[in-house]
This record gives sequence, C-alpha cells and structure tokens, in this order.
Amino acid sequence: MKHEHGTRRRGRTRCRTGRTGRTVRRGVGRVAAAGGAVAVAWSVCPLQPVHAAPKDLGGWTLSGSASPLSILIYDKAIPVPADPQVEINFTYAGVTMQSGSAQAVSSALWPGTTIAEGLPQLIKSDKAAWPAWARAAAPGGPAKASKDPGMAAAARDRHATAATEGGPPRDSLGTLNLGTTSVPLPDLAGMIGFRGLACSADGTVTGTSAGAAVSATMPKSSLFGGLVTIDRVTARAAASSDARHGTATGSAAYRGLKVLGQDVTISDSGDVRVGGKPFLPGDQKKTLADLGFTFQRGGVKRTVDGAHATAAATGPKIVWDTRPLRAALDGPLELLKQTMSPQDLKDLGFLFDLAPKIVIVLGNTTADATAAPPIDAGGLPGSPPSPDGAAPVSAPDAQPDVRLPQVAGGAPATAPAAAFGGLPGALVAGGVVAAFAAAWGLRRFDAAMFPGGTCASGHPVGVPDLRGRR
Amino acid sequence: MSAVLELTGVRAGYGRIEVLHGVDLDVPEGSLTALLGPNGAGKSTLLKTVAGLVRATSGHVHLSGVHVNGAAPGALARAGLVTVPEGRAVFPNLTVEENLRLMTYGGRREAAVRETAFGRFPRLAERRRSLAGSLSGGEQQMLALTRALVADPVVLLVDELSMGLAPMVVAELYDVLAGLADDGVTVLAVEQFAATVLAVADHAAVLVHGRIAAAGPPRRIGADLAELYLGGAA
Repeated sequence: MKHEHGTRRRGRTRCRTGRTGRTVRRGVGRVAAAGGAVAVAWSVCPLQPVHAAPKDLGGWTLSGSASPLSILIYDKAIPVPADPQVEINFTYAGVTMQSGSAQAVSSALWPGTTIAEGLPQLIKSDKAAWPAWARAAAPGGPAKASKDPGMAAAARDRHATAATEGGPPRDSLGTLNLGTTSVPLPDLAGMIGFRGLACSADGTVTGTSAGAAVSATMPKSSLFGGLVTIDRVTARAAASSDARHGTATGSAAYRGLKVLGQDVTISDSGDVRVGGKPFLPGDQKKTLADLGFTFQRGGVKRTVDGAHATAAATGPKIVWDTRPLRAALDGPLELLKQTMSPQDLKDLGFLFDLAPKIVIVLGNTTADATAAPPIDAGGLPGSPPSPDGAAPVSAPDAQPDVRLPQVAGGAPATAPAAAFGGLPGALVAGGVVAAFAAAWGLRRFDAAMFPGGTCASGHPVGVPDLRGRR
Repeated sequence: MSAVLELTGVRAGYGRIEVLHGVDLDVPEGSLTALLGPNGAGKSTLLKTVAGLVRATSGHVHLSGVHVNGAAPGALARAGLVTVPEGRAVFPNLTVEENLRLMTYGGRREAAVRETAFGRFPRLAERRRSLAGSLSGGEQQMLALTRALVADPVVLLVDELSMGLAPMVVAELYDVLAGLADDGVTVLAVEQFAATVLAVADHAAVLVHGRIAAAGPPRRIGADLAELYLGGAA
C-alpha cells in the first residue's frame, strides 16, 4: 500500500508542473485565492493507474439460441403467459450466462422456456415434467447432461455449450408427464417428414471477452407433404464483448427452395418469384394478403451499442396471419356459442377468440453479449492473509480505500482543465461550482421554498425518510 | 397494519412496449409479501418501477405516504429502499471477503459488514477466501442478500431469490427474509415458483399480464394459483 500511495503522489506532481498549470496561474493574476482553487482542481485530477491492469472481466451477460425450424404462434387468446404464446422448435440449443452462473439447454423438441420450465406451475402438479430436454447448469449442477436422441449440454461458470443433432427422431421422444396423466409425444419425424436437423450454442468467457456463438442447419427437407422443399438452410450468429466494444456477426443462407416443384426466390420485399416472374398469376401480393400469407427472405440483423452486441440470423420466414380468414367464421361461431352451456363457455370460450398469427422460421438463431470492465481489487484495504489462514484484519475505524472500477489497459484520462486555460477556464469552473451550489440548495431546501407540492392524490412529492419512521 | 408501499394504477414499460397495465398493490409495513406470476408477467418491471429504475408512465407509487414517481434510484436507496436483483450480481472474480469489502463503499465499516455477513450466513465465513464465482448458487445468493442487509434496508425488494437454487436452500433463504420481516423490515419478494415463499409469506399477490389478478392470504392464493395463471392470461 505504501508503494501505491507514493506512486499516486508522483502522479499529482506531474500534473501540477504541466504547461496547463502554468497557464492557469498566469491567467488568474497569481493571486493566492486562485492558486488555492487551482490546487483544489489539481487534487481531483484523474490519478495515474496505480495497480497492474486487472486480468479479468468484471462481469458479463450473454445468451444464445438456435433452432433449424421454429414454428411460433402468436395469439393473446391462448392462455399461456409467454410471447409467442406457443412455440415449437424442432431441435433446439440454447445457453444463458451471467457473472457466476451458466445454463445450457439441448432439446429435440423445445416448447419454449415458459412451458418446459413452468409446466408444474401451469398445470399445478409437481410431477409434471417436459421429457425431451437435457439441461446443465452451474453452479448447482448438473455440470453435464445428455439424453437420447442427440441431446447434450454442459455448463461451467465460464463455458456453457449445448448441441442437438439428428432430430427429430423417428420414435416418440418419450412421455409427457402431466401429473395425473401421461401423454406420449408424437412421432415428430412423421409429422414434418425429414430428419437430420442440427444446432449448437456456445457461450465462452475468457479474461478479456465474453461471447456467444450459435448455429442451426437444416438439410434437404420437405414441408407440407412435399409442397415446399428446400435443399439446405444454414444460419449462424455470434455476439461478443470485451467490455468496451461489442461485436456482432452472422450469416444466413438457403438454397434450392422449391414450391410445387418449381425453383422459387424470395426478394427483399417478400415477392415470391419463379424465373423472375411472380409465382401466382394476377396481383400476387393481394392474393396472398387476402389469405393472410407473407413471405420474408430472412437475413442478419446486427446491433451494437457500446459494449452490448446482438446478432440475429434467420433463413426464410413464412408468416400466416389467420385473422383475414377468421373474420369469415364470426357468424357460424356465434351460433355455436349459443348452443353451449355457461360453464363450457367459461372453460372453452377462449377458443372462439382464436385468430393466431403463425410464423414458420427456417434457421432461427440469436446471440447477445455484454460485459463489464474489470474490477481493480488491488486498491482494497485489508492485510494479506496471515499464514495460519485467519481472516485479514483491518483497523476498526479505518475508512475503506475503495476505487472506482477502471478499464484494463485504458489510457489514463487527461485532466479536465487541459481543455480550458486562463480566465475563461476559471469562469467556467466558477460557473460549474455555482450551479452545483444552486442545485444543492434547491434540492436541500425545495420544500421550504415551494411548500405544498403534492401529487394528484394529495400525497407529498419527494423521497421519504424511511429510517425516520423507526 | 398500514401499507408502507402503495401502487395505484401504475403503468410502466420499455419504450412503446407497456408491461404494467395499471397495477394496484398494497404492501403492509413489516410484512413479507410474495408477488407471484408466470414468466413475463411484469414482476421484475414492477420492482424496477418501485426502485426508480423504470419510470411509471402513469399512476402513483407511494412510499411511506410520499409520491416517489420520478425519484432517483440512488435517493430511494439512500432512504432505505434496497433491491436484491435477479441473478445475484456478485463480483465473480473477487473473493467473498473482497466482495464484502466492496460493500463498505456505502460507508459501513468492514467489521460491521463482516458481522452482518457471517452472523446471518455462517457458511460465508467458511468460504470467505473462495472466489465468488466458485460459490454455489445458494452461497452467491447469501452474498447478494448480505449486500442488501448492509445497506440497512427499511423496504427490501427481492427479485427471483430461488432462481437456480435447490429447494432446501431456497427455504433457508426465505426463513432469513421472514426473520427480517419479524424485525420490522418490509419485504416484497418477487417469485415465479410459489410453494416455498407462500409457506413464510404474510401476504401474496399474483401478477398476470401486467395486472394484479388476485391478492390476499398466502393459503388462498396458493390454492387458486394455477387457475389465476391461466385465467389471467386468457
């Protein structure tokens, strides 16, 4: 500690003998008061770093998820507290990490976190459990988890990874335990007609960066009984942060998209074309809109805000908003409602309000990362551990010498006075001091100056003295 | 028992997305109140709104009879409104002792911080030289709770205490919160998994889709929970 304090003094000396200091002293006429003010100003000059640069990040938050095929259903009438209300991911991998904790999830069929983790709450049975996932977590464990077919997850405090391959399986994924009853999950391969989906998610924290990278791959596949086929879809997204800057990258590609056996392209504006011509005759967009269909080409979205980075990469999307068709059913459904008992209407009434928007995403990946600068613990008070392992003892009345976190490797900040010299600098400094004083006075005595300030419900406005109530 | 924290018609959100759609909630003084609700219901947003981290777009947040909409989070914390955030937010690369030493930042002496930490959580004394990142989830949560206790809270907001913890550890931590409430601290605990907190809570409320779907005795709320989750969502 002595050495460190000495270093700090040297830092001040350099600051006081600089050119700026001489200029300031001449500008204020070398009067003693100004000299004192300059001395005070110098005392708050940023200090030179006194400790070796810390070698580790101070904290991080990152997440990533990937699925080759996601079906998302949005409808507020569906009584599931999530957004989207229903999601089905055919093969899924995801990681979430925060400083000191990590989780990795691998699933051959993922219904979203709300359903998979909240099933016991949703159906009020502790025995209820989603069968088709492997989850690893740290701390708390398990550090590794795997499940057939092709689900594997591992998590340590600085590394989490999940990989799911080969899905969906030809056999049932198991039995969905609903507490009082069990329901076998269906043969997914039969449902969607292909296999070989794969995805992975990886979160890694090193001493200087935290990052998440995810990928999803869909091999040659056919949807809707062969109406739509596609040779391959790949999507990758990665986000990382070094606590100063975020970096987001991604790629999404597909090839061999065919509808009804014809090669099809989707333009940036969502036009579906065959050989440069509209896929449907007439006003294609209107025809599709009347049916509620839109197509999106997909792509990569990158967002970087300081140390925070987000990347989302998706392949083609098919959006079917059923509301235009649903409107045509209002009359018949109203008649059906009138035939139902009040209790049935209460239990099942929400079904009549259903008009979901269904979004099919081929290749669905997102990654998000942010990190905080290292914590310089070297300036903390306390003696080094004694040889017998007893706790370090501080002087009982000593005030802690805690320093604000510094960015590792960061250049020492320049003195604020460097930009202003002479009388203008003194005036600016004086103005700032006066403004602080006025603000402090207003804040301190606002109640005395402006009595009777209340909110619309007649309560006084401000911050209460909670401890004064004791 | 009077309410030290009252929310009336509080609306809040992020940008154009409104998350709280008119929340009415009373938290009695010196009680442990459980705020339950499914994932995405707005529980954490409600805590952030009370703590001043998210500004209410309308409605009233009254703390000890004072309208605190727009009050700075720091001012509220200095007044005695203390938050234990979701995810613990301990410094993983510092030891337990170094984390405790950072808690002296608010002006408490180190001896007092250590007394609070090791008195409430003897397990932390055993692990005092371990890096916080290597602690179990329960131990990390103890460290996070210590940081809040060191601030001498009058109103304590706790977000998802049970996240990633074993049920026995959660029960132990909620016993600590119940003890604080017995000592006169008002505790509002947000929780997604209800059974453990309802066992020690004095009051409970359920938030579904940004509105209070029910409030009352924990036993009654626990019995109706599934129906509240589903009914409120419909």
